Amino acid sequence: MDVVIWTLIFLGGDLLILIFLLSWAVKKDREKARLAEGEDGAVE
Amino acid sequence: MATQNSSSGSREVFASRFTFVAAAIGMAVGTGNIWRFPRVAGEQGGGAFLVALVVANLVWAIPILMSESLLGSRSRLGTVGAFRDFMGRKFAWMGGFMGFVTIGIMFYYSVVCGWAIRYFVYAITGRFESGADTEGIWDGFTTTPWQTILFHAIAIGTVGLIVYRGLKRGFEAILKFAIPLLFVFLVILAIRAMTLSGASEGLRYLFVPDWGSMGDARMWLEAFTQMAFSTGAGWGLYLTYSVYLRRREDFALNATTICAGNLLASLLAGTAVLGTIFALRTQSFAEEAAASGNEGLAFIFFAELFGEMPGGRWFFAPLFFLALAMAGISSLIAMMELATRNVEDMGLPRRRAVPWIVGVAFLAGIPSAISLDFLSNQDFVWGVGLLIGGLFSAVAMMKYGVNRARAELDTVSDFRVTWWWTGLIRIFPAVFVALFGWWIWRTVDEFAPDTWWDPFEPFSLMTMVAQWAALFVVMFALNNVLSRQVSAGPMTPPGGPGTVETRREG
Repeated sequence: MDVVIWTLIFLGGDLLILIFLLSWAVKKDREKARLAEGEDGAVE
Repeated sequence: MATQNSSSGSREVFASRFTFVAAAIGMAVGTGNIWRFPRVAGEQGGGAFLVALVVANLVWAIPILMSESLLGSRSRLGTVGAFRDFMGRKFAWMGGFMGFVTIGIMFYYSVVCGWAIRYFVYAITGRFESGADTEGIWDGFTTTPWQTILFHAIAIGTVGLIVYRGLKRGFEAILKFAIPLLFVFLVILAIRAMTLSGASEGLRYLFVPDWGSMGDARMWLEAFTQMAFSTGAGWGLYLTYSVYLRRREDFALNATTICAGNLLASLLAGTAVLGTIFALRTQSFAEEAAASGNEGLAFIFFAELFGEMPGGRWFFAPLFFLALAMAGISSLIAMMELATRNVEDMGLPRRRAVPWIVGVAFLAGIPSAISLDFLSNQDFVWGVGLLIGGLFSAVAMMKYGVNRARAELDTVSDFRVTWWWTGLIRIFPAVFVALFGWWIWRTVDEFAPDTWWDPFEPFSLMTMVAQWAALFVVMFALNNVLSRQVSAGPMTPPGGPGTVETRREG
């Protein structure tokens, strides 16, 4: 049982962290793109 | 085609954040993730070592990768130009030293990639049947120079073709598919291992913590060493890829994501290797395999098991050695791009620079292809030498101004870069002294206690010091030439490098 728990903590945990970081990056990129579009619109 | 203008002309940039992160993970994930990590992690206390590894990533790798990224993206120049423009014209030699340490690794790493390609060929021709004499195969291959040289040529030639085509048509186009594919391969190998009866003992060896080792200084030093070798922090490779970053690209989140991706590749490889070994053999076999070193583990002990695994001979053996070759080549691409970027900065166009670099790397790799002792010596000397590159990155931040650098990182990063980054950069020299000092001590106490003074002994202190000193003297003597020769970047003062203090980029 302890093998399953520690495997989930390390392997599953790192996988979840990576998915979270990638999702965060995608969200931030979308926000930046929206802001850039807004700035372009304001200039026009 | 995505390009951005700099004072040294238009520069291609990565098309998206995903392709940059994929390329950078490819730079970090190498053969060490697959054959060194499982061996060291199991030996050093499993889960406790993994906790230390996470700490090492937070303390060493992430701050240094962020520093490298700032150096590359702001200067838009390779290692030599970046150090010149951040620190002043007297410090171009530091970038030269950092670059040449990595180029020194490239010379023998191409030979290692050649081994992986050769074993992939062995695998697809069914050599790893049940009862195969894998030690005989390894000895037969490595004692046949024309074969090791041929596969070294194939590795360096393939990478040369990719780098020759530049960012958009070359390494970005390849890596954005190759790196996700590499992870798919590692997941398949890990699932295969986990579904073998008895694999749980391998998972116990890798993941269940031996908390008693948390107080062991050697375990911590091994964790920091594994992290420094594995993430590529201080090699100048991330600096080089950052030259092609889009403007206002994040620094902090990208560096963290790359470390998490690199660690995941290690954990998947560890699961595949140790799960399989423990399922098909005993712990004593695993310990014997671990004691046989990186090559012995992958090419002799692990290769022996494919014939006994359902689907091993025709599916999992080719998949494993293909993954090993892909991991190696994705790192070798970054090494060659580092050399190419520096040569291009000195005015030679890529189409002429790459053939020269391929030719030199091929010739310089031949001694490693012929002699395993020579290769081991080079791995030892330049492997430990790359720790110095990490120190140089931290020193560059201090010379530039830690608070000034922090403010620039914070402006565009997706999470706040505050006191933690400045603090980690400031304590970096102390961490470096502990880790570097440990390696120096090991050369005298452990590797070559009776011959540490002999420069011709493969693992002596003197062989390391002599080769580093030779590189230092050459780079220091060439400092002014390097500084003048590298073209101007966006940070270079209008009158040329060193004419006025490096201006701050808005």
